[in-house]
Amino acid sequence: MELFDYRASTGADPLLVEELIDLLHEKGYTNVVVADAEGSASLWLDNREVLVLADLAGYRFITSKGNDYEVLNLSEALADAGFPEGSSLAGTELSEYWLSAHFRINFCKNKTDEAHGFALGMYNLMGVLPLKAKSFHYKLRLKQEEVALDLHRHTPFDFTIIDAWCSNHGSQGSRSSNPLHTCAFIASESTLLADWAGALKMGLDPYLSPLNAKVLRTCGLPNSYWMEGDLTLWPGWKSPSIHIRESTAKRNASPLTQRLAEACLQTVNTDLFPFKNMVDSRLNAVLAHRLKEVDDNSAARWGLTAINYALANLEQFRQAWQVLFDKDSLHRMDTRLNVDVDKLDNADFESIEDYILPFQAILRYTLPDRNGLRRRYIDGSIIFEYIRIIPVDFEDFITRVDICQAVQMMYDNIGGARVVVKNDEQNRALYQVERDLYLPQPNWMVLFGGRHIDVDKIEVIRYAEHSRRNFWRTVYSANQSAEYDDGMVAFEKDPGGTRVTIVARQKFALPLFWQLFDMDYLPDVKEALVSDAYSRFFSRTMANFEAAAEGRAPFIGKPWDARYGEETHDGIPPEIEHLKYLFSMLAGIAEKWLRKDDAPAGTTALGTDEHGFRHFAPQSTTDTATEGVSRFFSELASAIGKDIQLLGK
Amino acid sequence: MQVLVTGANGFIGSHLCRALVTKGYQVRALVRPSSDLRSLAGLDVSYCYGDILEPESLAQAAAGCDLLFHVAGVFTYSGVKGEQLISEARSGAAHVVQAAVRAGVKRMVLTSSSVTFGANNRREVMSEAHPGGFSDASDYVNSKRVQEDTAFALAAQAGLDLVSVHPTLTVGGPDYGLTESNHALVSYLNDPYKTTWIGGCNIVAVKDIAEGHILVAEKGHRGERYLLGGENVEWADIHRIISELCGLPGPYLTANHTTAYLAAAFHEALAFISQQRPPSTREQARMAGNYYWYDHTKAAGLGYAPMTAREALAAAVEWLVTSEHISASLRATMHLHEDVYKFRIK
Repeated sequence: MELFDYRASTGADPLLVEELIDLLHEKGYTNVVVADAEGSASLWLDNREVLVLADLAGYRFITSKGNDYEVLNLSEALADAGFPEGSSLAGTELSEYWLSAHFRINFCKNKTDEAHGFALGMYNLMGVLPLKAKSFHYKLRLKQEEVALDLHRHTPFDFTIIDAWCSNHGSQGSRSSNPLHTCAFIASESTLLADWAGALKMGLDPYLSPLNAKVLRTCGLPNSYWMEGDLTLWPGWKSPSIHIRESTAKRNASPLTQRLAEACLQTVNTDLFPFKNMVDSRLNAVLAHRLKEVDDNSAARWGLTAINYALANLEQFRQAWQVLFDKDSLHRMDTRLNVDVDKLDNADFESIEDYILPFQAILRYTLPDRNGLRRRYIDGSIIFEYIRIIPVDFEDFITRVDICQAVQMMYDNIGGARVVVKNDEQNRALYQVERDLYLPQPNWMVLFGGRHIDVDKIEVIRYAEHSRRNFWRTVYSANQSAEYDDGMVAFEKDPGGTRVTIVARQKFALPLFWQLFDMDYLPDVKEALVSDAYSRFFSRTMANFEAAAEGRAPFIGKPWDARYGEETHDGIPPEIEHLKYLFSMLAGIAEKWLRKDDAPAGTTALGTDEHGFRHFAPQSTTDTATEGVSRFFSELASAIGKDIQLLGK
Repeated sequence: MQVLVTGANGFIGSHLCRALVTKGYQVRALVRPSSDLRSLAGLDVSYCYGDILEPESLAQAAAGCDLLFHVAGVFTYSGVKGEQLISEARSGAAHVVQAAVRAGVKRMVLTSSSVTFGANNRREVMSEAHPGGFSDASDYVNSKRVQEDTAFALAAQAGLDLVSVHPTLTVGGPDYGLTESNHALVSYLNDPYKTTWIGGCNIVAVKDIAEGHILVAEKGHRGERYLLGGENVEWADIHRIISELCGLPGPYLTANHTTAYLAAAFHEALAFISQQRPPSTREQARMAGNYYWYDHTKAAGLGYAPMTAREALAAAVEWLVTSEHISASLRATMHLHEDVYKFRIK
């Protein structure tokens, strides 16, 4: 129910929903309910509880033919939804209303979306997720396309109807009502197919929305599907331009800008849905209507695009800063496996060791470089070996450092997922699959648009009396960031403690800028860069193993707040809380200053009471601000004096 | 022998409790109800909940004790106003002495600080005979002086056997609250420019300080003051040793008085905005260039034999790298020296 006004065109028309209910009753399906979960707007608007929203938006709880229906909140009555281990939504609860429904009908609006181009059935499916801060949790904390895939696979709709009777088109998508009477319905047992037809009718690529693209690429359209009806474009339809789409998607990469943009740009009937706080209300009043007519007003269009890109660039700068200088402030990434575990067999795992060990044999005949790294090149990839003896008793070491987690402990790992596929008789992992995300390597590649390294690996673990070895091989890279990322980590008993060996073969995709240069023409520079980058990476990986042996978690980044928006009433991101604090601090200083000006000489104004009397306090005997400044300069002068004295010595 | 330790959950207090328990003392730990007790976890001590600013709770805690260690005190260069620091030091010392007298404690040991013997801008080593004092003493230094003067004056009036110990820059762990001395090491490790500064100090391990307390309690002479130090070192050497122990480069830069002061002002401004602890404060910056070098010969006469500065720093680094005070990303940049591993407890 993405409705911000009575029967607005941004959501399915309540009267049509009621018509459907009547039809279902006529067919004998008398137990029909309407359901939705609370959305992000409930964090910054009042009256967004599902029942109240339904009432204000036009649902009457009884159809014109007298059939009663309930409106249920899918954020309530939560129960384990059974999402499998390794999926993005593992552990996520869904409403029992949704889980126990015998038949789920997706009634969605035919509308555009300013970031995804279109928002149809797959977009509507995200509405069943329970947390209020949906944008935060299901678009940023988790990858939205992976969330959509998990939902589609595990709790799909049984039937999808796209309400294209009165569609909502234009660049602003759900941000404001822009109705177009298209006088049609699109319906299918397959949500993907309904969306496919809906996108084609808009003149858009059905893969334009990342939600649909991911699910289409993974699950595909139904076998032997067919489409009935006219697939010509909607007359007069306007879709968001590439500038709007891209700039919006980039802007929304930050929880802060996304939250601000949502509240400030949404056209809202504030009589029905008042803003919860004054700042949002004021900003919305200034911006929403000015940036509403983006299709008809080029100033508004380019203004919005410029604002979006400016905010997106600020966010990119912030992220680059974090990658380079403040890794602990990054959020760890919760994600899902891209590999279908059921499609793997023992031979896939057992072949890894034979693939890796010959590389180690080659490296034994290679002298270490100045950083202690042995390396060679094969097919454009680099193979290398790095060894360190950690002065910790082997038995202690393997107790504290789980060989199964060795790959996750590699330097700059920022998230992923791991699933054990097979255990031995002692219940130790033998085969496992994991997805790992690492910061761009070397980190400074982030300045050139370097992407996260995102790889799915299969692993086999070998246990011996005096050794533990983990062999891995990359089988998929979702963002094509790695062609090779294969290797072995070994922990072996050594007279000096534990000998840790890393052998690996790697070839990562370079940002476009660096693809323009063939570093082979500058062998010395290349050698220096490669040696420095790899020795830094593996030296720090060794430090992570040491840290794990010390009993601490060797992972950079901090977890997302999984309950964000639930406890905090207005769902204000921490960054905004911080800005609020600064704002109140500055306001306090300004207020004090103004009062001082207003007060009679020698006094400080305290305020006005209920009778209109103004109160003043006698001026304090010490002026702390002046004293502070004076003390600063006096101490600075003293410090300079001492340095001058030192020069004389 | 029954012993009361005030500030028992603090940095020195908790290590003292551990050393006392090891030596067979029965230890009562005076802590606040809200205190973080992680540092005392697993120790066979009995807790007395109270506060040195609440005389009644002190009296109850001291009743039946033979020995009292007054370790409680605020060691900070930021976040607490000078007047409050001094006032609490004075009141706390007075209350503890009064409680000790009322309880008939045989000896009280006051934990003061080496800084009460002063500092100077020359490489001069000071002993207990040094008159102390310098023109721009910090609020912390003044609070320790007031604490000491109050305690000795009241003890003399009441006939209480009081001795004081004066630790120098004490490092080590566990130190969950991260005292200023360990904070200085962490700040250096966090500093991307690996900046050292002019001057020097005396570094000592907290383990030695704890044992020094007991030595002075057992063998010290009534009314005497004992410096408990380690090795006198220049700050540049301290930072070089830390870098070496952690496998990091540096120090790169040396801050003089002016740059130390300006950097500290900048740190304070950032801390004010971010509401985080500043890496350095102007009060600390004013101490740059001074030599806090002390001689512990008098305590050595009692059998006090501290470890070297390098060993003390290795022991401190050993704990700090495993603690929450060192971030995962910073830890990943380190390659610990084998000397650090020697202090690792299984």
